[in-house]
Amino acid sequence: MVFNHRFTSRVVNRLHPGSDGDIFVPHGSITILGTTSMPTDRPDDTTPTSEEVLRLLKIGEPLFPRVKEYRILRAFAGTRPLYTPGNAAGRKASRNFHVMDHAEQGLDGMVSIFGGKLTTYRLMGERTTDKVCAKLGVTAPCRTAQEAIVPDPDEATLSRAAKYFPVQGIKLMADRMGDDLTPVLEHAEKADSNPLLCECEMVSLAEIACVANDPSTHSLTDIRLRTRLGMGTCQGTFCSLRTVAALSEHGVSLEFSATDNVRRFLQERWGGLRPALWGMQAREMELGRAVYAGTLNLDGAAHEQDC
Amino acid sequence: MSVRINPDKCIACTTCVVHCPVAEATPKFLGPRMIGPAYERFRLLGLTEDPSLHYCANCKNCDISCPHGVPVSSLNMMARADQFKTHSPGLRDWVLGHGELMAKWLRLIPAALKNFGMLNPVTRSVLDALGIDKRAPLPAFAPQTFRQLMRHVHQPDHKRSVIFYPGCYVDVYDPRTGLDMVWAINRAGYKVIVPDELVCCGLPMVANGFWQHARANAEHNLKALGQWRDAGLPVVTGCPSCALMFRVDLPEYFPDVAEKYGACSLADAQEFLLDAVDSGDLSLAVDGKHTNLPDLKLIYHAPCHLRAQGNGLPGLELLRRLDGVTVENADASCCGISGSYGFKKEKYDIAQTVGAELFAKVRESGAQAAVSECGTCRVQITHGSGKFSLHPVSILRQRLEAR
Amino acid sequence: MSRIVDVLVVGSGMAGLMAALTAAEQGRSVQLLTTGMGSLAISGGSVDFLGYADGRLAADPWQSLALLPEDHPYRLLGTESVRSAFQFFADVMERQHWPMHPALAQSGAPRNTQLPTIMGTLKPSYLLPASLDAQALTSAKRVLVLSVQGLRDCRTALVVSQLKRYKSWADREFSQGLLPSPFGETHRAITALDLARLADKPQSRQWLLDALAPHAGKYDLILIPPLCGSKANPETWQAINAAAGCPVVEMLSIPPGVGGLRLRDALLHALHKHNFEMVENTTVLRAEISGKSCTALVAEASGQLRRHAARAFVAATGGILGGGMTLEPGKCWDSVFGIDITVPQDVAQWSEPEIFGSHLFSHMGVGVDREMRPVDAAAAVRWQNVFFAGRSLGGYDYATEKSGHGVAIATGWQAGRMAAAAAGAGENQ
Repeated sequence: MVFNHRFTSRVVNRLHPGSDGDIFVPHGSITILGTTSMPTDRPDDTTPTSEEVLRLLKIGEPLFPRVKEYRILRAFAGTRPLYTPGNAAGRKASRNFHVMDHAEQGLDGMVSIFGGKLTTYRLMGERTTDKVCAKLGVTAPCRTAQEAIVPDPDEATLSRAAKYFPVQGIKLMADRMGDDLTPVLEHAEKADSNPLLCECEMVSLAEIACVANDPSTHSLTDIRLRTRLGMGTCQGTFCSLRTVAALSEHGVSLEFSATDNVRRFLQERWGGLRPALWGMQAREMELGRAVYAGTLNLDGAAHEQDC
Repeated sequence: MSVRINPDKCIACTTCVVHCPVAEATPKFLGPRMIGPAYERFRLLGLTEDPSLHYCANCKNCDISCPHGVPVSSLNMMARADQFKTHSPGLRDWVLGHGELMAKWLRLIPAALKNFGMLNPVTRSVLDALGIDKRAPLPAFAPQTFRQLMRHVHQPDHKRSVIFYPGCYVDVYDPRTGLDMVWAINRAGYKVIVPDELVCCGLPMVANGFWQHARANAEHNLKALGQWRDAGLPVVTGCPSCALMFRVDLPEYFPDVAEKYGACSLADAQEFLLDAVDSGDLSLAVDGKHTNLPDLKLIYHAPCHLRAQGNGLPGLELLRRLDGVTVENADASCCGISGSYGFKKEKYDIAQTVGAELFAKVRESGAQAAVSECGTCRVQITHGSGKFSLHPVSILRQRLEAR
Repeated sequence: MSRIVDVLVVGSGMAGLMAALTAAEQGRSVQLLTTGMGSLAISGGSVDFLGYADGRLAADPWQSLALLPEDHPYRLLGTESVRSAFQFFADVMERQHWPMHPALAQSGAPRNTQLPTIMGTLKPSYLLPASLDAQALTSAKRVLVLSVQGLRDCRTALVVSQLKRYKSWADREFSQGLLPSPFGETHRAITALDLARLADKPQSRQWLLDALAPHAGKYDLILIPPLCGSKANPETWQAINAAAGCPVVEMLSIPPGVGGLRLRDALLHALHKHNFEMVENTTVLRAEISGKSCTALVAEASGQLRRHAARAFVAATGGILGGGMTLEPGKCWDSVFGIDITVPQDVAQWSEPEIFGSHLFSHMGVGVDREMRPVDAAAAVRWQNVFFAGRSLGGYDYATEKSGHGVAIATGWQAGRMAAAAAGAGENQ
């Protein structure tokens, strides 16, 4: 689950035998508390429940006694396959990764990687290629641990950025843009202005336009995944409209019509709001409804446009 | 730095931006919503501060207008306090932040000389270069401070007492108002005690970047007031900014100090007097034989810091109870001065723009005087409209006291 | 403190201001407590009566009332009361020189008007400011859509592309224009409100009149963001329409909506002529009850508690958004009187998976009788002198129905009248 503000500057890990609610992780402007774990048969079963949210709060309370006062933005869930030799189930199944050389099973020249998580992907890559290299007789040591995937932006680039981007957001933007920072800067330099479209997470037009122009971007959600659009306090209430408006003006098309894009974007956000729909986030959600249904009639438009 | 206030209550509805007088006056100011709760989520990351933070006047209109209880002005002031750790305030800000201290140092110089020294065109040019706008209505030092004058006031021998917190403005520049307050409280059947130990509430220090001084003053004041509070004596003030400082700001800025000595709630003196009218302790009948006072037409300006207290406008209500007095409520948001803000060179024009609607209303009202509880509001109103300005309690005295 | 007021209203949104005004016009002393500046500060300037009933677009809202469920506030009040409430509102606005009227169908019957928004969608609304030419919206052929440089929220390309997708707008000839911003480059992103404030004063309005002049006579309709003044001042509109040479209609906008500020300006102006006091920056914590009556409300005011005594009370506290209803896991209650609102234990059941579905929470609220008195499960009146208005009421969904200000006006009017009567009865006791 995601909290609205960053209330710890360090990862705080609860030291108990591998269990639910282990860990508080600060991430930019927010804090994440996780995780629960439920077995499922379907890889697309990613709906968190209210019960899980309450359970996490209860477990987290001894670490942060005021955690129940903190505003919850949303809850989210993902599925992953776990490799369970010997049929270990639930928490007993290892979250570790396994590199399997299928030669052991009589299939030569095939290696598989199971499990693991994003934070261990490079280690997984290293172990796997080590195994493969061993088979190919390559003995040079792997350099991946020493090489930066994306170099940190230099001071000159950051100074350049300071002219067009709000001072609070530059480092965060540089972190998430990585290699794409320079094209984003160039876009901002060429434009008349570079307003913030997402004020909650400091995402500006240049960043959004660059990502939107990428051939792999088809929806507002795709933009969100690269930029944090709609991931802050208002969960898309203001930035959705501003983004489709800006893209329209710049002639950038996404897969669907502007109103459909916004509906889909808000629908995706909605899924995560539902299990924690109380307190201040309930007020935020009502403001969103007042804006998109009450004022802009996005719901009515779905049946009245293109008739 | 005290415990940070988390920005969770903000839902980005922009109501605060709609009502921020500075945002209305200039687009150079990022606005309360962004600078306050929105940026706070990033301050918690330790990133750089927005360059327009200094435009926040601490007028509290954002707090008043927020439907969800976000303490926007406190977020801004605390962010400023952090900013001043790396960017020290200059001499100008020291001067504006330490009015009481300056008055103490200069007390041996006779007022006439002091005022000549401070207010002559040459000095004003020097101050202007320092950053205090030469057009700004710097008030003149009173010949004697309120506390000096109090020593010679003969009060009736009432059994009940009230602690009166004068505030720097009354003490240094406008002791007449303080004496009128003493008269009124006496008339309500209370003796007035002005403890010597009380010092500046710290608001100008907070606004100008002297957080630690404000903290020291808070500690000093809460310690002194604590004993009166514990003795069951009411503590009242005629200055809404001081009242708000004690009621809301100090517990928010310095929760550990408030906890150690106990918070002290300064009651609004007008509220106190109004209650005394209702209970029968304070008579609004005119003294003496001359009951044919000419009708008086006034225009009232509610200080923003009074509106922020959630107690309505007792001063206005009290005035409306007086015979022969009609009071119009200007209802024109902020006068612009916001304490020391409007005196600053880079803020003077903004302050005048903010107050323009109020000045126009005062000029067009046909009133004989403007009335407001806040000292710097009075100065600003007179400066902007040309109309003479008084504290409500002075009107009370004028209308009721025997000639 | 022994001061007692006739009617105490909590909340300064449309419902609260209406209740206060109705009670004040009946000669009662009125005090209004508010935490913030109310929903009008950020909303639009037209009044939604009933846009959709039973999922269908309502052309004639009066006819569609019958489609609403029995416990809908409009049904509880009855058509005649709703008519009276709207008439009252229209009269007030007329006296404030900001008349509000519905558009009329060919038959002469009042109808909803489909108003364009800055998203290029259409939203049905009912009472329109006199400056809004509804006929032009229907009949205009040559339409100019304007925005201003730097206005992030309104981009003409989006408006045109989306409006064209409606049958009623598909055949129009659209042109687009971008007016240079009188502010130039700014640190804070400009909103329509900043521009509207320039329009308030003749001396700073000229940039807009000059910008419109070249287009005069070339179009049948100009659509513009809500920047034609922040106050209820007809003179501003006259100047702008004259410069444009054709009807100018403001598109509905996200906060700050600007139009709502004009309504608020007019309503407060009307209120200040009466025995009315507004106490700002205070939040009601609880009520003091004695038998079947409320005697006072206790509010938090800058760190202290303050008791407000009155003869009758109106809670117009704004529902979930305004804080009038508190939501906690498995629980919901009204924030002033603590009335419990029955909800399922599992929060996920409060909403539908589909974002624009018919959610339980959107209909949640305090149940009332025809007089707007809260009733318990057995339909018995809880207290004789307590009334509710606006979003804190149950039984309707302002967002999908497009009925927000309409329900606020109707229920605020009723609650104010009933509270005034109860205060009169209380006085005699």
